[in-house]
Amino acid sequence: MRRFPGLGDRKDFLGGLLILVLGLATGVQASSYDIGSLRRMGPGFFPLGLGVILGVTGVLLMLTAKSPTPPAERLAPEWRGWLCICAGIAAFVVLGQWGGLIPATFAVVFIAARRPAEHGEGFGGAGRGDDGGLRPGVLVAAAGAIPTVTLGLNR
Amino acid sequence: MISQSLSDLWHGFGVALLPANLLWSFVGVLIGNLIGVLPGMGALSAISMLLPLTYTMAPIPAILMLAGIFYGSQYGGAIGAILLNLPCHPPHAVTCLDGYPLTQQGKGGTALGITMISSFFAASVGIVVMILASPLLVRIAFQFGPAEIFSIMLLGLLAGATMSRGSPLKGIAMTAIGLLLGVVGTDVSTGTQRFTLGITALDDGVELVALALGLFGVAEFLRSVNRMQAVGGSATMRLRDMRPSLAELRQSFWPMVRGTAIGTLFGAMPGTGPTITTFLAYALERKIARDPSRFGRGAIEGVAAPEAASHSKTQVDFIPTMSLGIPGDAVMALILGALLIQGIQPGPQLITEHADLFWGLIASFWIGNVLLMVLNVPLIGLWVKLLQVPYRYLYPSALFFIAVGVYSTNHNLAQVWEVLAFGVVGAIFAALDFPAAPILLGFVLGPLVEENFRRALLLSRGDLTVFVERPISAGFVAASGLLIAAQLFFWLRAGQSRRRDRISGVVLPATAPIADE
Repeated sequence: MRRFPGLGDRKDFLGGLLILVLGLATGVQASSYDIGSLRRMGPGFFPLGLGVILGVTGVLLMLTAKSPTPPAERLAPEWRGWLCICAGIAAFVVLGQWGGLIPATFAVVFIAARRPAEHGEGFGGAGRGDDGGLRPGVLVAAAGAIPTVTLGLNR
Repeated sequence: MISQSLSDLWHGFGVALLPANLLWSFVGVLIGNLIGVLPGMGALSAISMLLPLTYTMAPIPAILMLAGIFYGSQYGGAIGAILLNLPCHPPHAVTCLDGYPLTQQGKGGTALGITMISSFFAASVGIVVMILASPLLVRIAFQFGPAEIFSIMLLGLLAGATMSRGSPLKGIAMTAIGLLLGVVGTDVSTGTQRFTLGITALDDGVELVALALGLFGVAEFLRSVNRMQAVGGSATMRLRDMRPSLAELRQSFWPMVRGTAIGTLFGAMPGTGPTITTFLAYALERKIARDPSRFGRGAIEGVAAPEAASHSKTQVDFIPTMSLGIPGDAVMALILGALLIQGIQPGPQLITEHADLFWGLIASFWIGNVLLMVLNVPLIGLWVKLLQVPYRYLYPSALFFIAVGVYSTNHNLAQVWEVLAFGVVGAIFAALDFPAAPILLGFVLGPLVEENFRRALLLSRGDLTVFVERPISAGFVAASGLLIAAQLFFWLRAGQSRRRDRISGVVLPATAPIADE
């Protein structure tokens, strides 16, 4: 019933592989700590056990990976949206470090708001006569900056 | 014993009705309801976003507010599910099945009314169960040593991993990842730095808020960016529409009772998520209905039973969380985390040592549910409008709240990096069909599991039989074994029927087993 696991459902197989790798990494790292004995466990004992569990689960996942099902509907990757979200948070940290929370607030909101609004409408929602996420950006950032300042979070 | 409970409860009402506590409870319910209504936001994101706010509060108002957010958002989620077919929160996926057809027939108001009545009824029953069961549980719980605590946590983790929807193996893998995240930081007994990867910010361990917001906030946005359909429906709702007729009330009474019973049963079992409870309640109604074909086309029973189940489960879930320290699901794990941060150790002694907190919380459930009823009657029109907030306003502001929320926890920008990292990791796991909730469960329980495991074996001088020699612990271990055996059995049976289908040439669509019954 089972063929070569690599030809099975790629999602399950890849997931299993990821878990196996994580388990191995955990095991290697854990064995660098003192393992101790069952009677008097060291700091490495419990994580080592977790590494073993992860590894075994990963192998089981790879072995039981289902045979490929026809892909129902593949969703296109949203690189721009993903990038905007990540960059927004990153900008919050960097600007928060050097400029305080107010610029950081505006940064996270603006960058995050600059993602395409809906499918096929151009970037930043510009297709609908919108201003590239500017209006929601200003509104939200202003609304956000007020409690930030008043609550004294801007330390 | 009951009279003792009742007098304690009376005292609890006194605590919950103190103006400050009442105010926070109200704030929690209001914010929870508001966030729950918004598309894409559930109880988990609501609680983790507001968790940092409670760090500076006294323990009682903090917990009252978090509990209020919890049931408020649960109720808010039902509104989106019924009116717009948007299951913002997985347990409400079932409510959509019959709630939305009812809306299409112009009876959305009635469905909401029934939801309100059944959640109130179920919550009240759940509260009564809590009052009756807690003293009993305390007596048992006092016999708990490290071995018992470890075994019941093992059972809870296994149940959480295998009984949610999706592959049990994936659930187990995620639970282990969560336990591992709990290990990160300085080891309490030896001072060794574990898994910090040389990052000083990780010396104190992973921040709970950062993990929760990363997994359930950022990861969710990464997954749903541009995939949320804008909602154009302009449903208007008037108070008059929400009053169900007598016939509809009579029709939904028994489903409500049965749903409550299922919720109560599952609430007492640690580790079983709310989604499975609502699916079971729905499946039961369809099975015993005289005309099962009505379901999915606007049967009021299909709304009443799952909503009642999820609300009674919510209430009863607080029993294992507070008295044993075993959260039933990820939301409870967050509330447990909040308790620990406030310096309150959940356990059998909680009910006696922090009597005002425990009974105040129970009393506030009831008050909170009354508040919810009162709140939703006039505000329903506003909630309907909120449902139409464009996603492009919603999600930058949510991202802002996440960033500021995490930062304000400890005034530490490094933890905002943590959010981003967990968000990306969570999105990758989600893309590979791994459930995220067991990670949180494992993370909160991780340190407790390790500590009790070590202590139990220290006391038994390294003898592993300690876990099966003590009767209570043996019971939990046996239950864990049964759980694994049952999963194996189902897996083998599914494999057999798959093979049979292949021989006869029938290709069945891959569907969730429970939803399909």
